Amino acid sequence: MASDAAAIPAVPASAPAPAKPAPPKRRGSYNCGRCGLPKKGHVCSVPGPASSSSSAVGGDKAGEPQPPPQQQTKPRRALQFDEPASASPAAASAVVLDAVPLAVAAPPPRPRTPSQAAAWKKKARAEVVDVDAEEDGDGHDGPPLPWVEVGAGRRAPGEVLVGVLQRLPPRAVAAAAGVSRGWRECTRRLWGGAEEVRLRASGVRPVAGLIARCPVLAKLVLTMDSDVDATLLACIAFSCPNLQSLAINMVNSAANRITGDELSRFVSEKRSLSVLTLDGCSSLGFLNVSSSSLSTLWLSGLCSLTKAVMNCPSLNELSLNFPIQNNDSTDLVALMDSLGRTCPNLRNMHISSIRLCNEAVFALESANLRGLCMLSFLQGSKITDAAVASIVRSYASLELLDLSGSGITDNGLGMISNAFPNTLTFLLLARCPNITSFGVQVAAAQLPLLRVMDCGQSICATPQPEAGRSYYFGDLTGGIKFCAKLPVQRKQQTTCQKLIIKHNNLKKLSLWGCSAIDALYVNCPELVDLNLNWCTNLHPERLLIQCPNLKDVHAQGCRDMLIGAIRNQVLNEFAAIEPRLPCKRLADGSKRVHVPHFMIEQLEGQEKWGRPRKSQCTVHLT
Amino acid sequence: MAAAADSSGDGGTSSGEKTIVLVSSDNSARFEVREAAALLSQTVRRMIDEAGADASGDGITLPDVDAKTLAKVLEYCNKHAPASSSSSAAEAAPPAEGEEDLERFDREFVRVDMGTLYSLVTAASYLKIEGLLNLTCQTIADMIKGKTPEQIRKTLGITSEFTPEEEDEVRRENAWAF
Repeated sequence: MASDAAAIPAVPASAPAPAKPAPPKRRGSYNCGRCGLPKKGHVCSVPGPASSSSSAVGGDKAGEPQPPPQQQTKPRRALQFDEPASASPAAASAVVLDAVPLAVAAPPPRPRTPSQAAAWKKKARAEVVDVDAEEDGDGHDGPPLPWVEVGAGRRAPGEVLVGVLQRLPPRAVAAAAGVSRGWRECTRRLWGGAEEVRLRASGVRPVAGLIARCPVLAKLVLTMDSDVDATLLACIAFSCPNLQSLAINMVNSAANRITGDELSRFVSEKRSLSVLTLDGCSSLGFLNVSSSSLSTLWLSGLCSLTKAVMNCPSLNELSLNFPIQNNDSTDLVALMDSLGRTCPNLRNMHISSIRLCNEAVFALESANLRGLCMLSFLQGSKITDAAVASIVRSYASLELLDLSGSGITDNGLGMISNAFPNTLTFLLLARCPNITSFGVQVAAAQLPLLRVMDCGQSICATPQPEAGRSYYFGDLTGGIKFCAKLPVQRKQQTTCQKLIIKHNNLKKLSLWGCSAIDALYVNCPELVDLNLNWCTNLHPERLLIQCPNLKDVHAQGCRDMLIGAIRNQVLNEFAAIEPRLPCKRLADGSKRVHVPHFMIEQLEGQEKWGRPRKSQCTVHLT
Repeated sequence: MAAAADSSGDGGTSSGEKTIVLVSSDNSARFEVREAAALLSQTVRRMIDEAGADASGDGITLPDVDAKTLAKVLEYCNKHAPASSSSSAAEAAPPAEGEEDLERFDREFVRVDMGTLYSLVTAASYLKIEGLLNLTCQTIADMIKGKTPEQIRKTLGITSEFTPEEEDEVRRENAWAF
């Protein structure tokens, strides 16, 4: 899977994203006027006209702007992680470094795709990207190859030529086949031994032509830029009896017309298939997958599924990605329910759907998947702290938790921090509007193993009506009188939040879009990547970055003075004579320097360092 | 170099560095090399294991490698040998060279005529010296990359025995790539 991890980041970059303006602010974070709890998905038990709650929910949906499509690239993130063995956090964090900035791209990534497509089109229609032919050590399966003429009147053993051909891209191998009979024989041997092929093609024919020559093919990665249907599956089923891993990625808006029926048949007939990745699964309609060998299943671009049954006892990793659409009627509760019964060995689960809700999480709780160590529920805006409580109860040792786009609050974050201090290494909470810097600080303090934390667009200054009214209620229910907002709500939306993060292991911290932060102190000796894109309210004089190993800082969309302050901090880190101290502007306009206690020791230690160290950090502005 | 300093033929010399004698196919040349260098070749390693401890006295004959090629191969092995022999504790051997140094050496090493290059790749294949095999195969691959069959034939000097029908067949077989 490591090779997958390396390869896959390229795909989201080229996946087409509809052109959208800069990420709109999520408006749905108001609290219920009656009881003060977050309103999203909340049915208020405080007495009031029944219509108000349902219409509030309806109004919620209608009024909520579509979250920008960047979220669709994010789900890939969790999937790129290996089995949570000791090696994976390093590999995984390297991968996340690629993925999160993709999500940040406020200008839509679309412009990249047409030019990439144009570049591709110049080349051959079927471009084989990579072939690895793995020969067994000494002996080959066939008889030893005859000596071939290799030029300059010399002859060499065929095996030597195969060794040369192995290092060629497949088009060159195809050319080599035309050189002489001996060479042709060698290319046949090469194809015959090819175990892994990555191919980009338009249409079934080139694929069929190639895979017919590779009888021992175990892994096939296809990038299709024209429509795909069941004939492709049929040809793969026919040509590759030992196929273990199949990935079909769709680019350039090519449609995937494979139906649920055809997919079921393919999976149940391929007894050796263990990894299946399918993109653009908009025609599936339903999912009924039954296989004793399947261990990894990634389906993305899913539309509404009427039924989702996965009868795969060996399933380790499941990813279902439903892009945002209004007519999604998938019953996720039933899906979770059945998962518990049919896939007891699930370790990594990733679901991205706006239909995620607390009930689905509860349904999963009864499944008792104790072995689960990576859990991602994305875009579940109806997920609240109750779901967090359920998660905390059910899983003993989560290593990755991704609840981006949910409605959890600092309480939920506290629950998470209490529950998984010994295992949690990835905590991803982007676009959780009810989280404040307080919750984030608690998490950082109580999760010592954390390596990656993403709070993108969570600590956000939401647009506030100054009168303190929640105008959804007011507008929809007419004459209802609602109470003024409770003080606790105000803290959530304050635009002057200070964030202090001190952590020994944190490698990557993402605060993109956290426009509510105006002061930031980061002291993480292992931090490698810091994302401050669109932190528009971060005050340049209230920024202190003490991360000697920092390699990348992202400051797109920040004001010039802030960028200057960032540059000053990370590029001249130990050359500064006067360490910059966070200062506080008082109400009368005067500035006082306010140095927290713990910082005094740090600064004293720093001044003892004689020679300035050359920093190797890059500040990214795009 | 330690190899030159050890003039006695058997192992366990005063410098503690074991050496091995390799003999070319026509028996015309004997080369004495550090064990660490010789063991870069999996074939030699296997031969030593099979023959036992006293093989190094007589020398190991390599029937498929002629003297000129063996000399060049050993030049590679000496340069690329690890700092310490893998079979025993670290001795006072020359330290491993820097990466850039090795790369430069490799680039120069393969600037030879095609005949020598082919001999090298064949020898590397027979002796199973991974680094040398990689290097030589990649060099030849780079010569072939991006060329049509006719161009490859021209560059390498190969004649094709294909009949026109066979040529058509090959072209059809590989149509998926073009």
